[in-house]
Amino acid sequence: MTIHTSVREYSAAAVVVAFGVGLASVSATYPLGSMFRPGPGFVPLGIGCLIALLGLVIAAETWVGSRRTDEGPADEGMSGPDVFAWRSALSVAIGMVAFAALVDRAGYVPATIALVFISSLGEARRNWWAVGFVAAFMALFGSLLFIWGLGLPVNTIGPR
Amino acid sequence: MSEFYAHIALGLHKALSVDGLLFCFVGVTVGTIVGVLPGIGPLAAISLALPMTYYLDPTAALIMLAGIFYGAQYGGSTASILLNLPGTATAAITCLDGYPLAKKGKAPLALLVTAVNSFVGSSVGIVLVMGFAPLIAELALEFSSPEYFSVMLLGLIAASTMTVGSPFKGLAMVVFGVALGLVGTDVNTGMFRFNFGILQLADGISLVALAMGLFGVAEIIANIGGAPTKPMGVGRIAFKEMWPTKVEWKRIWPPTLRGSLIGSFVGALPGTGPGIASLMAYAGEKRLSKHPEEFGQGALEGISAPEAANNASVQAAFIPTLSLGIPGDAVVAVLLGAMILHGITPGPNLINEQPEMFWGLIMSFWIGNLMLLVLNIPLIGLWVRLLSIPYHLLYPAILVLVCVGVYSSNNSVFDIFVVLGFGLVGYLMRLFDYPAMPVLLGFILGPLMEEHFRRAMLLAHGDVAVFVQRPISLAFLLVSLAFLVAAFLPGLRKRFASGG
Repeated sequence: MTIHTSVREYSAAAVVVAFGVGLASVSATYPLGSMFRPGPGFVPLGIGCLIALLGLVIAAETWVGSRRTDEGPADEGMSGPDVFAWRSALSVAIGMVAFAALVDRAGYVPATIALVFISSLGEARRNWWAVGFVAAFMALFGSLLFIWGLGLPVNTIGPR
Repeated sequence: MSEFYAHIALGLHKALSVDGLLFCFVGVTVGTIVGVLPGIGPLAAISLALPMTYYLDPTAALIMLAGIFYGAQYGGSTASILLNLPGTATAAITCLDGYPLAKKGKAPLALLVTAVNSFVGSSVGIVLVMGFAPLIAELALEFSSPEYFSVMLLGLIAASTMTVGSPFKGLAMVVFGVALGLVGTDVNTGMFRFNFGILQLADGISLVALAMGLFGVAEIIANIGGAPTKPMGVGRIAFKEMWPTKVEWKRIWPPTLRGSLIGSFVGALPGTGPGIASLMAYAGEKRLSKHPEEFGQGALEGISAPEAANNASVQAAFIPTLSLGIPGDAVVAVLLGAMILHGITPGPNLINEQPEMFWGLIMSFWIGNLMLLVLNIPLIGLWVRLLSIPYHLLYPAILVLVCVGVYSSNNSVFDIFVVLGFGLVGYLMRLFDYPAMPVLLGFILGPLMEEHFRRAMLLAHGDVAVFVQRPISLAFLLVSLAFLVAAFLPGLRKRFASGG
């Protein structure tokens, strides 16, 4: 286990701890009730503390693992790719936001075409003809199935 | 006994109706397709199909959704064998020996073995469901809130500690799921919790949106930009090539039976599913084998046991689901969510109150598995061809389905943003090796647990000891404790070893 992976592990554990603390502090503003009659804040407070505690245990586990020369307990699973794939994440995110923005205002077909074209920018290379075919197919097939078949209350083209 | 036959007849009547057969066929076909295609799994497919089942009869809806689940286990091995890329996460183990077999030119044999073993494993699982689910349901009629709380706790702990990576990450993710389940209106007081002034969150986070984000969108983001895949040319698959020789046959059947039993046991435990079952079956075979060095080089045992195990576990997962209302696995948890959406309360009363649904579903498993056998042996060539669709054309189409699917569940664009949010969270979790399955399980069980906890406290006048005073509840808690201790042990052992 290199120092680099340790930093990654610790920062992830820190996020877990922060989430737990945040949850617990919001819960504390809700009525806690009593043991006899637990209120709305009782269980969330407990859960927040538990998450924070588990974050600390994960950090401790990383620490124990990093002090050993052989692989740590956290390293036995499949590990994913190492770097955040900005290109993939952004193309998917912008595509979905575009779909959400367009579906009520402009209709299903423009929203679908926008989503297909924007999200396919996630790959470094693409064949625009093939992408256009997918967009056309999804627009047609989706209109038939969802709007005509299942009665989804949106227009194919035009505002809702 | 005559009652038993009457139930079977009732179930067959439902499962063999036009609706039953049609939706079973649709389910297992969709299941096979998403199983074959890497990058979309049964969870995403079930969440996609869920909003479309609102208009269906609940039994037909369940038959279809369940069909997607077990159908995907059949299809999952195809890509593992031909591409060395698991079609579903649970078929990852099949790559280890399936791909080497394909490289030796034995792909047809491997495909046949995985299909047949899937059927054998499923059969063992279904028989156990038929035997045990009614029995456990009867026992569970005695359950009240403390028992329910404890058995759900056991489910969550089992699910999170029996993962491949760190058990603590699993536990943290289960509790994270429980926390997500808190969002919305508090059942007892009607107070809004954690909705941060967003009206759309008053009913809580949508299950469909959460599942599609964590499993659909996160998976897509992770897969984009991967190396283009080219399936190994199997050519025309002749039936003669598929059939194992006598010697091979002898190496196949004992692991198959052992795998089925391991799978059934793991599947029946609340919270643990096919991924762990196939892993345990593979490890077990390797330990038992006289030739452990052949594992990873194309050992038939290495595909026989895990394939039988994952299918057996998928069917056995219905034991706790249908008898206790506690999901045996995260995918079944979504099915449970589907039941709730259809107005059916899962629990020990289900089998008595809805015998047609219970037995209809069980009988549809038999029919669905028979269909899958046909779909996966004579028609295997069709699915292999599916693998040649390039992923960069597939994922934009899947994204459209995801967006339309969540939009249609509430007719609001808000859920699309929820999916996207959880897609990004799920992708980050993958990067840091935090498992996503426990989140979903915690999300579904959490609210039920909170309700039972508060009810138990109310009934016991605030005395926490009620959980250990009732024998059944105590037993569940002790088993949970055993899982926790087991999770700590490897770490402890290592520390002792290093400390001298």
